[in-house]
Amino acid sequence: MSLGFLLQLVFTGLTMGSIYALVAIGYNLIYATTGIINFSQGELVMMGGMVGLAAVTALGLPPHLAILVSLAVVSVLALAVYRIAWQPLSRRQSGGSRLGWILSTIGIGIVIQNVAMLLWGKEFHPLPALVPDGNLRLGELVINSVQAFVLLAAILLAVLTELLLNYTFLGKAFKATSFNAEAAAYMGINTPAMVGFSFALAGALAALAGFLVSPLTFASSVLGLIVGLKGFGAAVLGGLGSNRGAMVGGLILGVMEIISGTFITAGFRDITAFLLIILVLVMRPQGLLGQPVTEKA
Amino acid sequence: MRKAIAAVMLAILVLGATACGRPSGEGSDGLKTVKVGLIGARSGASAALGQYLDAAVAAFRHMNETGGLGGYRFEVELRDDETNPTKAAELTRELIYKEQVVAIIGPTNTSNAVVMVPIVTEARVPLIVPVATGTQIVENSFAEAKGDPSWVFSVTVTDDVQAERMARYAKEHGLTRPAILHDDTAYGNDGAQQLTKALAAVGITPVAVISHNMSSPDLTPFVLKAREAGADSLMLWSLGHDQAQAAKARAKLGWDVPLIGCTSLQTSNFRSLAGPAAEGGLSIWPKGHVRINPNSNAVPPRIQQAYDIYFKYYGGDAKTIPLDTWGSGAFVYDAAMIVAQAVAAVGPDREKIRDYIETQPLTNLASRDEIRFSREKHTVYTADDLTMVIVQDGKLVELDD
Repeated sequence: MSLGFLLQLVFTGLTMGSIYALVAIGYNLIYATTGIINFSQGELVMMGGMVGLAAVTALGLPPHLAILVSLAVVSVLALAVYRIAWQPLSRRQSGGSRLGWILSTIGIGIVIQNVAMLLWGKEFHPLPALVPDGNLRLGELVINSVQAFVLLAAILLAVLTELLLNYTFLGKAFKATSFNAEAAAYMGINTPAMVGFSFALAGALAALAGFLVSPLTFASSVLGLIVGLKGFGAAVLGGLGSNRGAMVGGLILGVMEIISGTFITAGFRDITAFLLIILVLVMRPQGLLGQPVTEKA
Repeated sequence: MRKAIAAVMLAILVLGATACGRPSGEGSDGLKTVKVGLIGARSGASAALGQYLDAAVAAFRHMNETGGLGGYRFEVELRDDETNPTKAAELTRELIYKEQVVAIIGPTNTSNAVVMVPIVTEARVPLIVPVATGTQIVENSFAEAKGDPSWVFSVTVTDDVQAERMARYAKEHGLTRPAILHDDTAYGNDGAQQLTKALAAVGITPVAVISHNMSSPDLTPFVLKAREAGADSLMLWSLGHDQAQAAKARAKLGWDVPLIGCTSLQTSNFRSLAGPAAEGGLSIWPKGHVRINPNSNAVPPRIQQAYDIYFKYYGGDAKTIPLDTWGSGAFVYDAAMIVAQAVAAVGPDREKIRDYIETQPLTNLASRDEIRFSREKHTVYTADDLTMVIVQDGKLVELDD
C-alpha cells in the first residue's frame, strides 16, 4: 500500500467529514438555545442542494448567486421549523411530555423531504460547483479543486461561526441565552429572537453544506437522511454543544468511514463509523471535546 | 361432505381466476378489453430506467387508437416499484390477483425481477423482461418451473452476453489488468460474476473485484483501490448514478485509463451526472439499434417508427428520452408488441399466451425483424449481436471496431 493511496483516502475522508462537521455545528447551535436536537437538520441540508439546483436550472442563475438564493430560502425554512416544530411545544414544556420535540422535528423533516420529492422526484441531479473542476498533483496526492474548495470553505464557515458567536454582540447575546435564558431575558435580551436566530443560522449552515456537497454527491431529495445522521454522529462524537468538537468529530468520522469502507468492505463504511461513536460514548459520554454535565440530586 | 364440496368449488373458482386474465368485456366499438401489467422503477435510485416503460404505454395507446389488435383493446396497469424489491413483490401480486392482468412487462431492476420470478411462476403468468438484465432472472425461472416450461422471457441484452462482449473488447485491445467495480445489489454482483467468468474465458484475470454500496455519495476510495491494484482499465457494473460517480472519481484522480461500463453507462443520467468525465466512456449495445452509426448516420426504419409512436405521446417535454438513449425503450416497445401479438392470436388465456410467445415467430418489433424463442431459450441476444458504443461530445456513437 502506497503513501499516496493513504493520503488520497484521508483527503477524500476530510472532504466529506468537513460537511458532516457543518451539519454537526447546526445541531449544536439549536441545542445550545433550546436543549433539543433538530432532527430535520439533514433535510435542511438536502434543501440547500435542491433549492440551489432550482435556482440554477429554473432561474438560470450562476452558482455564486444560486447559493445566495439557497441560503435565504433554507434560513427562512429553518425559521419555519422553529415556529412550527419547536415554539408551540416550548410553551407547553412545563405541562405534558417533554419529548414532543423529537416527534415534531422528525415529522417536519418528513414533510420537507416529501415536498422535495414531489417537486423534484427522487432522482439525482448534477449541480455545478462554485469553482472550476481541475486537479493539482502534489507528489502522489491528487488535489481536486472542487474537493479542496469544499474542505476549505467548510473549515472557514466553522471558524466564522465561532468568531460570530465569540466576538460579536449578537453572539454574546446568543451565548447568554444558551447559558441561562431567564437571566438573559432579565438583562434585556430578546431570548425568543435568539432562539429563532439559532435556527436561522443552523439553516444557513445547512444550506451552505448542501450546496457545497451536491457537486460531489449530486443533489437529491433522498440525501438528507444519511447526511443528517452522519452530522448527528459527528456532533455526538465531538461532544454535543462544542463546535470545535463538531469539527473534530466530523473530520474523524469522514476519514474513519472511508478507511473502513475501503479496507474492510463497502458495507462496513456506515457500521464502523457508528461503532466508533458508540465506543467513544461508552468511554467518554460527553464526547471528545464536550464538557461533562453533572446534575444535582 | 358439504365442506369438502365447498372447498373444491372454491378451489375451482380460484384456479379459474388465476388461469385466465380478467374476463374481457366488450365495448361499444366491438373490442374486448384485456389488462396488461407494467412494473418498474418510476422513482428511487434507478428512476431513469422506469421512464422507458412509457414506450409500452405508447405502443398500447397507439394500438387502441388505431382499432386495437385482433379484436382486443389493451388496458395498461402501470405500477412504480420505487426500485424496491419488497414493493415489486407486493405490486406483482396486486397485478396478478387484483387486476387480473394477462401478462406483465417489467421490471427495470434485476433485484426486483429476482423476487418476481417465483411469484409469476406460481401464478402461471407470463413475464416479459425488457430492461432488467440479470442473467439469473431467466435462469431462476427455469429452476422455479422445475422441469415445466418457464414463464419468463427476456428481450434485453442479458449480463452474460454483455460480459462476453466486454471481455472480448479487453482482449482485442490488450487490456490484461482490468479492475471490476460493481454495486452490491443482485444486479452488480451478477454482473461482476459474469464479467469475471467471461474474462477468464479469454485468459484475463482482473487485478481487483471491488464492491460498493448502491447510490454511493463518493466512489473515490474504490477507484483509488483499483488504481492501487495496478489496473490498466476500469470495468463498471452498476447503475448510471454510480457509474457517473466512478467516472467523476477517475477524473478527480487524473487517472487516464479506459472506462468500460455495462449498458447502464448509456442511460441519460450517466452523461448528465458525470458531465465531461463521461467522455470516452465505453459500453456495449446491439448493432444497428438506436445508436447512431457514424457511417450511415441513421437508425433502422422499424426503430424510427417505434420511436415516433413513443414521441407522439411523450415527446416534447423535459422527460422525453432522446432516440440515441432510447435503447431500452425499444426493448420495452418490443415487449408490448409481443404481448399484443400473442393476445391477438390466442386471446386472454395466460397459458396460451406463454405457449404462443415460446413457439411462434414474433414480428412487428422495434429492435429486430423477428424474435424466436424456444422451450430452452428464453433470451434474444448473443455477443455477436453487440458492438461497442462510445460517449463522444456528450453523445453515444457506435464504435466501428
